[in-house]
Amino acid sequence: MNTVLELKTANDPAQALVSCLQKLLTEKAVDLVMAPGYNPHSALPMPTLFADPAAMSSADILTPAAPFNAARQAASLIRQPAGKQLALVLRPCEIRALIELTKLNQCSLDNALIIGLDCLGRIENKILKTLQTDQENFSLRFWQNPDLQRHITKTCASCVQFIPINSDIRVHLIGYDLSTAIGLSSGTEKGLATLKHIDPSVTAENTSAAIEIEQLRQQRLQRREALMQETEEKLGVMEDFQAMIADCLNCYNCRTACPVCYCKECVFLTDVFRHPPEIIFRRCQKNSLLKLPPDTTLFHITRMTHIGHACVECGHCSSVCPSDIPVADMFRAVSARVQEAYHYQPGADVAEPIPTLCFDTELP
Amino acid sequence: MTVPKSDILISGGGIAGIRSALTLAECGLNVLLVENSPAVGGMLLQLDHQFPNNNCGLCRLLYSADRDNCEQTCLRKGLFHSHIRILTRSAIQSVEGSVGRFTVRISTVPGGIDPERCTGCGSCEAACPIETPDPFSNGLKHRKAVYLPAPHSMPDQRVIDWKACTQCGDCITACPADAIHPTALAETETIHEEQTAAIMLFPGLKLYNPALTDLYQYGKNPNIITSVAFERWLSSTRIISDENTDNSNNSMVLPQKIAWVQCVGSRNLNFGTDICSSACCMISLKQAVLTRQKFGPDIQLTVFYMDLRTYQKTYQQYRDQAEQEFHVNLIRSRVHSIEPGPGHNDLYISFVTPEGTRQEEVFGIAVLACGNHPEPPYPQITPQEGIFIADHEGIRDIAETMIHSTAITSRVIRLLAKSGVLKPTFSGDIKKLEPAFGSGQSYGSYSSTLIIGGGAAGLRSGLVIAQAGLPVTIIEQQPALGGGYHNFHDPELKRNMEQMIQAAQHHELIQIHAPASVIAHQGFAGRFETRILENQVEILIRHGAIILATGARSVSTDYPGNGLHERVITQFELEQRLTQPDFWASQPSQVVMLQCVGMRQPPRNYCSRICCLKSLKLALTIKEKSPETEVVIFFRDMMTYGSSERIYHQARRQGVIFMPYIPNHEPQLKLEQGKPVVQGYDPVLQEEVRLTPDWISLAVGLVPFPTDNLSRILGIRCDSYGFFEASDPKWRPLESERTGVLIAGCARAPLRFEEALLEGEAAAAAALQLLWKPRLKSARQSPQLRPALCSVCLACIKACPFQARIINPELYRIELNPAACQGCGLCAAVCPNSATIMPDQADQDAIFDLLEN
Repeated sequence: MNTVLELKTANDPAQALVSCLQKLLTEKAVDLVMAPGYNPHSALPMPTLFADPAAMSSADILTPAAPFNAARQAASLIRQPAGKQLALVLRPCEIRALIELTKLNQCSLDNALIIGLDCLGRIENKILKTLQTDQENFSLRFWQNPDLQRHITKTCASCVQFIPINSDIRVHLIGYDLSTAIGLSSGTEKGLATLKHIDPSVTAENTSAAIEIEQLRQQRLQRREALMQETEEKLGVMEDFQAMIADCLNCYNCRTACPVCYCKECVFLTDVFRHPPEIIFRRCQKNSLLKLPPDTTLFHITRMTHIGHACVECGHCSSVCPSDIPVADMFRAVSARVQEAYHYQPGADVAEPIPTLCFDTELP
Repeated sequence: MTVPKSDILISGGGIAGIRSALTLAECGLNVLLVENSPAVGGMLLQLDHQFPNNNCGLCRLLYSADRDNCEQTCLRKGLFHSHIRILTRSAIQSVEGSVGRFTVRISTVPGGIDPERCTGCGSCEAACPIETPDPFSNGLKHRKAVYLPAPHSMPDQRVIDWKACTQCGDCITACPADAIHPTALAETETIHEEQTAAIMLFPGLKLYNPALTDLYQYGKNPNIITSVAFERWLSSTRIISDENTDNSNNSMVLPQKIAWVQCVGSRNLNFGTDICSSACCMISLKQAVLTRQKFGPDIQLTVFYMDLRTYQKTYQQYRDQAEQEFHVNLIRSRVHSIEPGPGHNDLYISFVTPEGTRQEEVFGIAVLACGNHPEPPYPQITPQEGIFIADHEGIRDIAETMIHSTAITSRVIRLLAKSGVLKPTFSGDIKKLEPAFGSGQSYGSYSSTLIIGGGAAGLRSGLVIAQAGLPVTIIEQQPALGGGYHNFHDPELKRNMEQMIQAAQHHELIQIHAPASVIAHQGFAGRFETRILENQVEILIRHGAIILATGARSVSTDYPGNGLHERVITQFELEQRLTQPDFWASQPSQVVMLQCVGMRQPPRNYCSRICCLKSLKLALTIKEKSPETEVVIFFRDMMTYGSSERIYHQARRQGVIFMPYIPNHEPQLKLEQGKPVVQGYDPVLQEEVRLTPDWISLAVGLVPFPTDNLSRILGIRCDSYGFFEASDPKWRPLESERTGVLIAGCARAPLRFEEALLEGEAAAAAALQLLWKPRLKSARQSPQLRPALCSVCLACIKACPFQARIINPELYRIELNPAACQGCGLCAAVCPNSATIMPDQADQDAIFDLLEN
């Protein structure tokens, strides 16, 4: 395990990867593959489930598009054993979310083969549509052209966890000249067994990749810290927080986009928040005015309370906000504190218990 | 015959009395609790923090089964139970009659304030001109002659201290509610009679008064204080000023150095106390740790001790933590004297170092760890059947108090059942399972108790329950009952065990399965179903409670020195050899005993409790039969707590040589020319000693019998050593996290034989308390489940401390077991979308008001 094997790409890394996945399907190493791909009517690559190797030609593994965090969809496919083995091609933040969902009993990884991709970041859907003039080569151009890479989201640009962990197979992309080769390594026995089907011939050491990854990490870390500081300054007291979310419509987009917000039905849709008018009036009278819809503050705070510890920093909540509230910045700043307090790293280890569910009788 | 108004009268409202009162009340009996002082709670009201977790936990005294009979409130406020009547400021004057029909004369000193009128405003206290030393703070503070008995008393009504009151009448004028009448201002003791079937007396503890000797200069220097005073000093309402404002009555200066002086009034024949008070070592360690936590790293903390008696299961770890993490300086030395120091109120403490040199050191505060001062309790009462007096030697820590008082309670129930005064109200086992029941509803239960393990604790609890009239099933893994008894060599213990085995075998309410083992288990308090395997036959046992008494055994091979030489043996082997003539025929000239072999250090970082006493007894036997034989005991701390200290004394008098050692400097065992040699260090001579004894006895300690299997089947946690873990080691030492599953004897922690018997009795009382009544009641308030909203994330199952939630695999949804549920609401708290809610959640809107504007 952990040995990086080299997969020759012959100027078409996307195709090389697709071939690997096709091979897994043909050789029945897996029954289904979930990977980004073009659908008959979609303008962007969407997470797509493939059963037929022939159909996999429309897959676009290297795309910078991630219309949403695919973890929830992946989890729904492995919610309970259904007699099929699935290969799930995912970004690092999607894998982290999937691990958190596993801990929450929303899925089981028994029938899943996680193929994790090195990630340079994603581009917002709208921007991507304007940039992506030709579908054919855009993904490779993105990987090779730093100018295009500047378009990634603010959260991605300050993400330091861009190398997948907990994947059965990791696809090494950063630090590779994709036109000639990419790396493949296994993180588990399952991954190791599967790699034998793909059978990349050469074992090659790519020392420059590690250096490049570290450089990128440092760069990102600086940005992350700056952004965190900036947000923390803005967050300050409750009034600052309320100013930040003043434009919230309670559309719940952020909640829907959040991969670890796992409830079947959100508490904000239940009777708990279906206030009788008198209550609303009373609250209005108390403060002489009441912003409608009510409970926006409580909504965000509740989400932070429920899943702050599990935030994988994918940034999708910001992407979907119609009011351009920096939800992700805000969430990340709070979550980082929560995670630090509990020494908890979401998505790091499926066996690590959720901190709020642990009793520590030894606490002084 | 007069019908008793109360079934049991308990005198002494400390935690022991409260515990017994609660156990009896839960059995459905009416209890009258008589307390001398104005508030129940005893000494614990003065102690805010308890080792080993350093929090309070007083409320854990309240039972979890059938809890709705009792107000679930902080016990510092008071005790409120529908079956318990409380008389404060009252004392027993005389007792007449016999078991079943006692007449007790009780005198009550009035509080002086009309409880019907008092609003608790405190104007009287403000108006009172008297200042008198406050016994609650051990004299550190002053209070008025009209005062609140305890800081949190409920209702918050004050009482008058008649000794201090000058009857000036200022309080009468000040009271806006006319709650103090002019006529009330006179101490008019009232006397009335109570009828009761049995009487329990808990004299409580009286601490040694250090002013009785010049040695400690107590009372002459304000910075020499007792441990109770220090506890008040540490409390959140503490009387310390951080500034250097010198000694007014209300402040003390934070000192640079604090010393604890152990064994004040204990283990000292000069003071007439030849016993160890048992709990003071841990109390002082706790105070040192709390001081460190409160006042930071700069204070120097020193404990002067003779032996640090951390003999309970987790206390050795606590000591290690105190030393390593909290940098408490532990010095093995008896303090020679305390003298006035160089600065104002400074102190010179002179002591003899372990190396034998005398040293003097300046301290800011000396805390005297006062031991128990035994006094003959209740001279006005003649002991007789039906009157139970708690043993009052030493200080028991909370866990031991709980066990002791529950054990006595079981004797009360047994006596009353035997003498026909009371019968279990049990109406016979439920014939078939009733339909599902909800929260607050009662359900029929099985009357029998399953006891796993037929050793000392198991047999004793089985006998007690059977004698009280309820059926018992005992299963034992070995073919014969008795646990470790076959290895006993003490004739008295042997006889004791044989009697119990006989009694159990012949009791009609006791069924014995041996050899048998548990293979499956399900259910909840009152309705357990356990499958056992006996002779390859599966048997289903329906029972209402379980007592786990699987016991412990001596370490057999896994200890340093095992197999070194035929003359290097465990103390158990030595015990056996002493019964054989060849041992004496060889006329051994020297026997060396090593204590704590492989114990009190990871991975077995606990004291086994039996070894020190056993070594002493063996040494005494040797000295008695062969006075010429030299006996040398290498020890870390002689764990002869309580009255076993007397044996230690005796051994010293008989000339047994004691050599202390510290971990990492253990005496070394080796072979030289085929003979075993002990190489140790004599701290007094400060040199190596090399002994070539005839026999070397190793105190190898106890380990639990394997518990993994039972732990898994029953869902009861084990600690890292494999002992079953109690839900609360202090307040519920015998209860597991599952209601109705009790732990007794060495399955819980290493114990001496008589302690295991006591735990057996106590566990029996806990089982009786559960099964005495025909029906159990589930908690009034339990959560509602809304499966349509539930994502089955299992958070609630993980969060539930009582295993009251289960997943129904067929419907794939969460279900609640109302019998196990305690209504704590943790499930609702962790549920993100209110798929579980607590009904009647008041003030749900509060949070909206808080956050929205």
